[in-house]
Amino acid sequence: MIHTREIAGYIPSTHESNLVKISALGVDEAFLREKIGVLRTSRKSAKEETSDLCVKAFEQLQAKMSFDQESVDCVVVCTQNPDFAGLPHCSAIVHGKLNLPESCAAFDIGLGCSGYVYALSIVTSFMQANQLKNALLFTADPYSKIIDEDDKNTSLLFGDAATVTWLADSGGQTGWTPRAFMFSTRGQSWDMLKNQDGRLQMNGRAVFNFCIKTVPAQIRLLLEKAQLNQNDIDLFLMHQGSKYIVDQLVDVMGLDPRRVPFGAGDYGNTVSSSIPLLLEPHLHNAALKRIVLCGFGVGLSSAGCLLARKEEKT
Amino acid sequence: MEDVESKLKSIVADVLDKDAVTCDGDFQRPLKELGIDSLDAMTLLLKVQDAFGLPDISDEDMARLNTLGGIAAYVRQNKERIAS
Repeated sequence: MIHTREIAGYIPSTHESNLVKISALGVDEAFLREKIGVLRTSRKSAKEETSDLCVKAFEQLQAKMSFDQESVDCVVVCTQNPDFAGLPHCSAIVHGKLNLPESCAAFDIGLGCSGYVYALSIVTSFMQANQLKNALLFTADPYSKIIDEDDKNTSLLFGDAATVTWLADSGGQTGWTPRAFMFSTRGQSWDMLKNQDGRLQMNGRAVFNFCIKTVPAQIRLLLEKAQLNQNDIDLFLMHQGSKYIVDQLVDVMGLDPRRVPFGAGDYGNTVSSSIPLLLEPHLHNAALKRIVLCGFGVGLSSAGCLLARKEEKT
Repeated sequence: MEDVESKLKSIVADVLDKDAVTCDGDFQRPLKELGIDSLDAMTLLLKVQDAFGLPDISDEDMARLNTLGGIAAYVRQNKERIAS
């Protein structure tokens, strides 16, 4: 059984204050605080590459625990903003920078906000199919590479970050196991969130409409698949698109807002890193038994799954 | 036809969690003056689509629909189009 053993995140220490930017962008402070919900966005330095963010996340993992790099069988990077436009694959660069063994598989996953949930499914399946013991799943999608700072639709929202999730075949040990995956895609709307000539363009309304229609239905199906109901779930960790979308999902689904945190106010929407950043502080909370993860955005795409503790009989 | 206005009023109350429409004149006021910002307007129109069984409202129409009166007229026009 493959478990999520540990997560570490790296958020660059440089931030841009949205409170400083809003007047030039014609946004009022109440709207920023109550609707966008992001007061500062994290920004990598110009010298830092996507792979460097992954290395920093790995250093955070090492600071938490001793980790034998020789034991890594698989390294995966989920990104749509890789070094060198993706050639070579970012995971190979990370593999080199971390001096991982040559026997280690390395590949990238080109997905955005739904990427972490997809990646959990892909990597755990890959590990099971190939009897691998340890994988490092990185997320790093620094949108500062493509953001137009004058575009109020995006520059107040997106921040840079990276995370690493250690997935391990831990034998009899307890841990979090992902299952009951659900996926959906609305390819007809692919151009609603895109990189156009090196600049991010987003039709926020189209993305919002997709999310508010798709996510509640997807989570309902996910719970049916897992034979659970909403009250069985300790936490719903939604992609941190904005405070507004998280609040609206709470409202539409009739969820207890205390179980649906918004935590991106100090660094922004970090794309595929948003869910693992939110999950990290809860991973060792023994009181939690079941967590629903749901990512949505670029594609347009959404993916959800249940994380359940191993000892649970479900 | 009054039904459209009363249904709209209740949708606005649902979106804003309060009764923002207190008189007929509010239907001619800009949405912003009623406390409906751009994000609330997205939610409002999505709920209007669902409540009246309308097809997706285009971005162009969305940009023009900046009063509740305009939205009510849009609903009637499109309901008639669907019915015919």
